[in-house]
Amino acid sequence: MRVTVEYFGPAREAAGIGSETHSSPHTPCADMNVQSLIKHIALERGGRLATLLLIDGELSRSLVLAVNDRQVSAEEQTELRDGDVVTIIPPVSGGA
Amino acid sequence: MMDLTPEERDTYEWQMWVPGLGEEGQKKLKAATVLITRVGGVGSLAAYELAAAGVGRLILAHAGNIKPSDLNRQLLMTHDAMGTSRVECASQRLHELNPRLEVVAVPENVNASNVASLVSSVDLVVCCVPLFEERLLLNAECFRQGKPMVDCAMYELTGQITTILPGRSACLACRVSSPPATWKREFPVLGAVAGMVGCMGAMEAIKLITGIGEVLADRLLTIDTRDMRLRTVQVSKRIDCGVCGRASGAP
Repeated sequence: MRVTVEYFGPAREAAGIGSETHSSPHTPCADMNVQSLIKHIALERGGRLATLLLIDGELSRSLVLAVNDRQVSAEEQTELRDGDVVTIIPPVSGGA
Repeated sequence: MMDLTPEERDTYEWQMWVPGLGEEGQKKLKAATVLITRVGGVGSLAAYELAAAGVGRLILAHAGNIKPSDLNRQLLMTHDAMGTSRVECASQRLHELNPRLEVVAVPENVNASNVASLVSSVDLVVCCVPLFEERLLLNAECFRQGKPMVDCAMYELTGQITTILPGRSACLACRVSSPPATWKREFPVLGAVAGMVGCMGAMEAIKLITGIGEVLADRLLTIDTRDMRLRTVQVSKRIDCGVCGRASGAP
């Protein structure tokens, strides 16, 4: 299974990349839901990306997370399917 | 609604050709009052486009005087006016473009003391502020008074925009319940990105006023100009939202 993860705004800056593909041998992947995937990425990369995505080890509720352009909750597990596009949009407030 | 003058018909002739806008839409623009909160890199362009489109009355709220570091993006400010009031300079520039426009220049940022009166005096709000505290304050007040808010935001090379229809679509607090600790007051800004977001915000305001097209209610548009990626994400109201959800006591 292959899933594309897209980073916008501060997430792109912190990840150092606009998008990337993650693969799993299982289809669909029971242990790779949106929330666990993003936590995994945050913990693996650490640094600014982890600070942006996690609060006390949990996904920040201020992130807009989407699968195929539809928002999903940071608190509930959303199963991923082959070809899904996961979008991570942190909040921004400029105006400046 | 007031009729258009011959001079207004001449000025707006080309945009009245837009299907669905016409003379009736132009009269609605003339009759409208819009609050633009902060006329920085985003708000300057939102104000300029709304002035150009023939909105009758703009209320501009922005504290402070023009600094050198404003001039890479705040296109209503001028080098000659350095050190003078931002909103006064913006008002003057808008009048040079559209002398019919009524501008109320408020030399204050939105705060708890002025937000209710500012919102009550307009038909809709275009929010272009750099702090989540102000943004959330406006969001809550717009919800309380039932006024639409166009929420314009940018960072570095990216922009975000959505339109909030109070009680009908997800509000800002549905996705950002409190100011995120990761947001800093000073951040990278390129004027062309801020201006693009301001123009999009003006377009949302024009659609709200005239009824043409489809606004970004329950949709968050995100654009990354670094590679021109664009996503429009369907966003949802939170039933536990502190502003518009059940927990707030909202209807």
